[in-house]
Amino acid sequence: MFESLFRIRAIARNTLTEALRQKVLNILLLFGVIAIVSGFLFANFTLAEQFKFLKDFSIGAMSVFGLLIALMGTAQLLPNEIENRTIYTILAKPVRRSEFLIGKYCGMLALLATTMLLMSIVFVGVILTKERLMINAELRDAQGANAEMQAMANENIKQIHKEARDPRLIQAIVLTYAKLAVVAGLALLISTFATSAIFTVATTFMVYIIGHLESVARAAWLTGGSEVNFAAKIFLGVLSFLVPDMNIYNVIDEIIAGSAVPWSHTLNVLSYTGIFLLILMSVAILIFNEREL
Amino acid sequence: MSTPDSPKTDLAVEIRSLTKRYALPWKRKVLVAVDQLNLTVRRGEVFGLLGPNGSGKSTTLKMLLSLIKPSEGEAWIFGQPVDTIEARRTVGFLPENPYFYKFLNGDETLRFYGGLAGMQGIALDNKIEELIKLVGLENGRDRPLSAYSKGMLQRIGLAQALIHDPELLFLDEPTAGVDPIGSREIRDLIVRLRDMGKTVVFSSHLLEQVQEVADRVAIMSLGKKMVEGSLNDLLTVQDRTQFIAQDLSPAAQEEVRQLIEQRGGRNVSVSSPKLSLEQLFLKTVEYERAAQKPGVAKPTNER
Ligand SMILES: Nc1ncnc2c1ncn2[C@@H]1O[C@H](COP(=O)(O)OP(=O)(O)OP(=O)(O)O)[C@@H](O)[C@H]1O
Ligand SMILES: [Mg+2]
Repeated sequence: MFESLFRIRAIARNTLTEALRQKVLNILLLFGVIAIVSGFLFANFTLAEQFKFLKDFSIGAMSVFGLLIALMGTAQLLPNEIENRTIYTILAKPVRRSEFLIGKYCGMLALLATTMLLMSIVFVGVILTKERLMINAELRDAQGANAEMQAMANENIKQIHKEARDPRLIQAIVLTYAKLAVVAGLALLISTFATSAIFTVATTFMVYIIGHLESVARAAWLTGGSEVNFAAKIFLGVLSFLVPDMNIYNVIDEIIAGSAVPWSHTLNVLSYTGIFLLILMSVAILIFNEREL
Repeated sequence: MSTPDSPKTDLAVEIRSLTKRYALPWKRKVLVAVDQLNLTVRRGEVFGLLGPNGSGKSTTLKMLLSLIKPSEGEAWIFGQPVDTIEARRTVGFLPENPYFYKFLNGDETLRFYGGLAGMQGIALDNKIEELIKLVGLENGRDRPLSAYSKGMLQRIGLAQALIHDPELLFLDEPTAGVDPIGSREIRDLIVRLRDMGKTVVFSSHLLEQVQEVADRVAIMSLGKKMVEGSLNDLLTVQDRTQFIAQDLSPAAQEEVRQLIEQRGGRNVSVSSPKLSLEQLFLKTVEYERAAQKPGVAKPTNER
């Protein structure tokens, strides 16, 4: 058991090292530009709007870049190992195929965590700089002004504070990470039987879209009154087992839009994610164990 | 007491009716890459697996490491079924044309594979130090493998195979792409490993080298084992006798030729003539040459 974890860690670390040495983190530069531009370009909008732009664009960019890595990166993990035959050198050691697969997945999770963390740091840096600059501007404006103006500046400063130090952003980032973990898990599962990385990317993307439509279909078919189709029910049952309901991650948008989402709900989403990942990985291991290399 | 069916733990490798078929999707045929192979390798011997291209050597080695699943048959390593991880604890493998992680340097590569075999700390550091010296890769320690030459890759591959001090080594064409000096060094290394009590199974096309180091060989052709045995037995032509004489004048030689039934000259040695391994090899896989003639179809292992 302990030995097994030791091997999984070695494979995960190797996977992370590979990605880092291939300069995957260069994506941070692009992210930095987006965060800075979205933070400072819209200076003539209202206070609340300015922060909304910054949060929208930044979390959106995190999500998109994360998806790119989760999708493209994961789709290539197995094909690269198999084409280069490096997988032979690993499996010839006392390593189980399941350990190899879990190790690869954990490496991808570590890579996604690293990128998300670094992007979050850049994001927080930009948002705090913006806070500082705006508060300074308010203070400058209020200097020597009448009492009414000063009261207004104080109000503004309070609002700036509230917008900039919004703890709900942590929820949004954690949920984004959970979504990426599911996408990476899907891509890994599909790549265990795919014949090429392109197939994996395309299929994963399709499943991702279906995952978004799933609950819409469920709502339309199952609440459709008395004539609920039995076949449709079964179809949806199977679908919801195979395809994760991606709509549960839509709360991210609500959080950014400013509505309060309780942590209990976030934890529910995370548990669903955990269960789904367990299913994905178990199926992936079953398929991979039978695969001809 | 072991029944005839239980694997023998005193054998390094035991293979029974091992078969691998590949479907040929566009021809509606199957290719029999390895065909009902029976083979044993004893503890402590150097075993040469020979055969022309495509005869199933690599496929056999891959089945012994459970990298691919046999279509039929079974195999054991020191009595453990090959599809258990216990079997792989005692084995080191050098794949043909090895290819490792380009972004790692020599030290990191060995550290990684050592970790997979459950090694860590000082023990691993010392082992890495020792192996780098053993395979002569001092100049490659901190260079990324993307900058390695073919011979250097082969060396790091050998070091990687030896990292967890396995009892048994599978080397698939260990000298491919290595220059003559390096190739001699690898040959010497195999001898040294045998002296350390290890069992080595290797495939090679360099018959002279095999002849120098192998205790026993098997020659495969189209997936089937054609011959197996000790080099001495295989290369001795049993139904002929040869005399080697010293100090025999031309006249005496002529006399000996006439009197050979009675006796003559001073016989220093009487023996059977030896084939070279190359001659044996060519005789065994005759079809290669037969196929050169027009009108003779080249045999295949497609069914
Ligand atoms: N994945 C595969 N799919 C189909 N056929 C395969 C596959 N792998 C090997 N073969 C076939 O199996 C046969 C044996 O191949 P193998 O690689 O074992 O030969 P070999 O003896 O190692 O040859 P070489 O000396 O060239 O390395 C060949 O005809 C090869 O084409
Ligand atoms: Mg081969």
